[in-house]
Amino acid sequence: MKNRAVWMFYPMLPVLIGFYIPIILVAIEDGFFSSGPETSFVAIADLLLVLSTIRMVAVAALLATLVGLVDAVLMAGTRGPLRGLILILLLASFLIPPAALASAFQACIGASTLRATVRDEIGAILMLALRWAPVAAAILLAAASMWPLAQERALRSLPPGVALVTRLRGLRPSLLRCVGLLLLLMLPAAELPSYAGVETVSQRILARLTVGDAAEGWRLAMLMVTLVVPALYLLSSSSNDPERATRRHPVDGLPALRWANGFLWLRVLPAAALLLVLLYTAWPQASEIAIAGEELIDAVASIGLELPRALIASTLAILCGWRLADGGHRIGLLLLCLPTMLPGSLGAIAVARIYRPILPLWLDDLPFLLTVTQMCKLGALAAACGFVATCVLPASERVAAQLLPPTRARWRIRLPRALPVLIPAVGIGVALVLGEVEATLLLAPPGHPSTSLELHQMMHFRNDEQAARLALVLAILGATMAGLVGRYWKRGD
Amino acid sequence: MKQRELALDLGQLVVTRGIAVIGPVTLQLAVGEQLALTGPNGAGKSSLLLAIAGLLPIQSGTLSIAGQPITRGPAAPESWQRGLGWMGQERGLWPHLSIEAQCRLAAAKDRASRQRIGAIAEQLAISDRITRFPAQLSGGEAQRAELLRAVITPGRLLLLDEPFSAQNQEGRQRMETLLDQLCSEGRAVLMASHEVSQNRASCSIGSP
Amino acid sequence: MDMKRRWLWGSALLVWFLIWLNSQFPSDSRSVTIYCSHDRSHSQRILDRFEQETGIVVDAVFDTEATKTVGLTERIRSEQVRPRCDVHWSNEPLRAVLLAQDGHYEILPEGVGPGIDSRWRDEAGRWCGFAARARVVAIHPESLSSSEIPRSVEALADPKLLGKVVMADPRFGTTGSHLAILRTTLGPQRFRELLQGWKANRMQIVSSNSSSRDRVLSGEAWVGLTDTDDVEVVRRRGASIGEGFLPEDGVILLPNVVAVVKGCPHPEEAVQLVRWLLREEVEEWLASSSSRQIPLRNEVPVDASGLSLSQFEPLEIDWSAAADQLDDAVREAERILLNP
Repeated sequence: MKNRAVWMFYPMLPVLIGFYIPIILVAIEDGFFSSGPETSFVAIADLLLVLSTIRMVAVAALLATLVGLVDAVLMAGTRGPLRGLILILLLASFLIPPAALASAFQACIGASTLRATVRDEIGAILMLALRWAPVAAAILLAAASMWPLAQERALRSLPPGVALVTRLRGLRPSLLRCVGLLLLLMLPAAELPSYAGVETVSQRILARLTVGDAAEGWRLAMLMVTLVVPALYLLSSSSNDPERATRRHPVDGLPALRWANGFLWLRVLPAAALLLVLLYTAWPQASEIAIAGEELIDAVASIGLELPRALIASTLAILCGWRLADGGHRIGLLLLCLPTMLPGSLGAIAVARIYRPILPLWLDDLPFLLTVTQMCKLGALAAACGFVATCVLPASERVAAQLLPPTRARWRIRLPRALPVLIPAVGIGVALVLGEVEATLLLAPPGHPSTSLELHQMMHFRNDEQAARLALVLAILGATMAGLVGRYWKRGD
Repeated sequence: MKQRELALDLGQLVVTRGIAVIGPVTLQLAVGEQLALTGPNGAGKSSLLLAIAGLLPIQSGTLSIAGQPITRGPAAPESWQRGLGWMGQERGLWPHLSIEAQCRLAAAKDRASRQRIGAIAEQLAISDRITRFPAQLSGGEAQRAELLRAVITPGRLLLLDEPFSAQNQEGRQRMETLLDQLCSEGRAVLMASHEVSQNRASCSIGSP
Repeated sequence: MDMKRRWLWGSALLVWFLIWLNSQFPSDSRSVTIYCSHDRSHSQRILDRFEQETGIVVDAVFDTEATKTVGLTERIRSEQVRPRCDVHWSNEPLRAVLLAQDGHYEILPEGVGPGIDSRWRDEAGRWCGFAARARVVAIHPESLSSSEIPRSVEALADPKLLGKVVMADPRFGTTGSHLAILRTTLGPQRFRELLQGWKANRMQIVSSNSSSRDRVLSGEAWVGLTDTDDVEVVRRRGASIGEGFLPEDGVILLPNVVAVVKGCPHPEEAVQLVRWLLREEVEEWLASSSSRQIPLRNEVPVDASGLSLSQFEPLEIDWSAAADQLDDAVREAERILLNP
């Protein structure tokens, strides 16, 4: 037991150091535990906001899952080289920062058509759902890949329509889990709802911090965590299903659906249109070509310099998630997920306040704290992909590996077998780290290049063309990541 | 009279798998012996092997491997600590490693293993296949390769679940010859099988 | 992959890694770090000129107004024990005043910012203002004639404008400062009545001042509370948009503010940069840029399209009192305008 606790401890180190220890210390320092007479009143008033945020996000998660379900099923019925392109376009709406798209739209159409058409809560729900639908599709594709090979092959012998319905029904048990996971990932969303003028609990927490009322910000954060933790715990149950797949299989088990390609092209049309808008906005006029070229080179260089750090942060975070899932540490996975639920600024402020005074000067000049904080923000992704990676290992291989000493089985068998899931997850993690703003603004050492911050500043000051160029570079990077996803998925099969 | 050295000793062992209860089973297997568990589908042959390997919980009864009693609960030794060679009913070869690499992993620190792998592979007629990956083998070859990986482990007790299911007559004969040889070298074999060759010990499990 | 190709890839990755590692360490040259919330495209040029003139390398961290994050003010707070920032250039005064009250700023040396009136400075000399923006209403010209332009914030509650007035999230940026100033001048009771009037008139709330302006541009709103620079940016791109200065309230001017952070790592360079930023030329550059700042010295020349101090009757603001009202103003706005 003691040994097990120790093994659980070391993948938890980043999240303990980068989140829990500073958060607890700062919350105490800010007077979180010294409640005044108006505390309970404030908590009740804010509870309504928390509930309305949860309601909005829950509907968005449900909608995203339904769209993702259609995407995932139809992807299984497509064939040919264009499948990769469809996948990239599907993922594009998630990987391009929403600020960049909004900026490009404004520059291209003049006034904000986007904002005029999507408004208030329905608008926020639609934007959140469309942005997260590709993630739902990815989760459901991963769930489908756990079906036994024989069952998948049997699907191919059915008429396409029947096969499609069978696959849909087969995915039904995964739907609720997918909705739950998306709900948790979307909860801290503030940016997209703010475009639609919708107040969320994250915005409220940040507002508290900006007027110097940190204690109330902490109380709100605590309220949200208290509501979310039971759901999270339930979600992480059934991580060890003994009846799971006996053999992994390609996720394209459906017979080729003739109309699937056409439908998916329609589905990715908005994403393709967004990319075209971005390209149109980014395209320099004749007089701007030299400047645009310089900007492009600068953008590529700054992303190039940020990439290794993003890669390190993402890889370590994903490995921690996998290690906890592999060891079956449910509490550890839960603790890993929580930082994702809260606005990144909370953790970043706590880290800066607690560690910077004691950090050696030479280390302070490096983006060390930034990296640790960003790793913590990837917690839910790491936990989810760790969970999937352990589930897709066929039972027969897992049993055979149990006859080897644990360390050898872990690093020589289970880790390499998990790579087809972990490598794409690292790619998504890199994209998320590169697009991260909150911790970057608070923790990046002066002079540190940051694509995401630059993008937001350009947006804010209406430098739409520059923003579009930068976003386009990010989109190309995202496409490369998506390409890797496709490639490793195939290789894993 | 020399006392029998027991490789496996089951006393009134009861195993549960979902709602099914298997046993009580009492069985002794000495070093140098082979025993085939027979019985109808769903009788619990595979479950019993899984329980001995520590992959299914034991409800009651006693279990000793190589004279060492296996306790129940969290203090029970892990599968890899029980000194076993394992071959499951489903193909459990790891697709990212060559057969030779898998065997070397299973053989632990045995320096003589390279020659030994070669020799046993020769006996199983897969010596030209051991540098290949599982996906490059036929069904029968993959099954023999998995037996190779199971027998190369240092464990003295071999647990084999339907080891001949994908074999033709020649393949089966080669495997049986190898198992006979291993038993004469001090190993013991417990296997689950639908049919048993003549002159081989067997016991039936479950309702007839 | 053959051996040669593997070596090639390996070497390329190693070189990339070394370049990255090298980029992570600061250079040894003389430097100063500035946290700047002014428009990057203008401030970067000004800082580049400082770098060229003095040879001091400027490491700038620019702010973003994205509502998903807190800004550089919080960064300065969180770095209190070991500051990284030397100079804070804030584009609005109230949050800087709060930082000064909490002891985050050094007292500036005598004689910085010659010619800038004392009403734009901290009484204790911890910060100094320069180049201001004015709070204005952006007007959709096809919907409102010049005689219908609201002349006070109370006019925004006029039922004729039902659902046609827009404002940025009142808790962030200059909108928050605007409300705090209104609470100071109107008093708490009238301030709450004002908010309730806005609420009853279905005022739209958007994420930022630029979004507020954009809703006016698209015609969804006829009147949008925003800043002069937000209006000017789109005007220079040819957009048709009007503006009004709410003269009955007294024009609210929000100056940029510079201060030296207490315990900063490069105090000498910091003072040098502050002196440099408070020169007349800097105000002149900012006045002629698309951010159309208003110089706080009457002697600074302004283009015909620009704005000068003599054009307005600015509201007299007690900055400390207004900063003290910020928390309450934000809370009340949140309770009345934003709660679901």
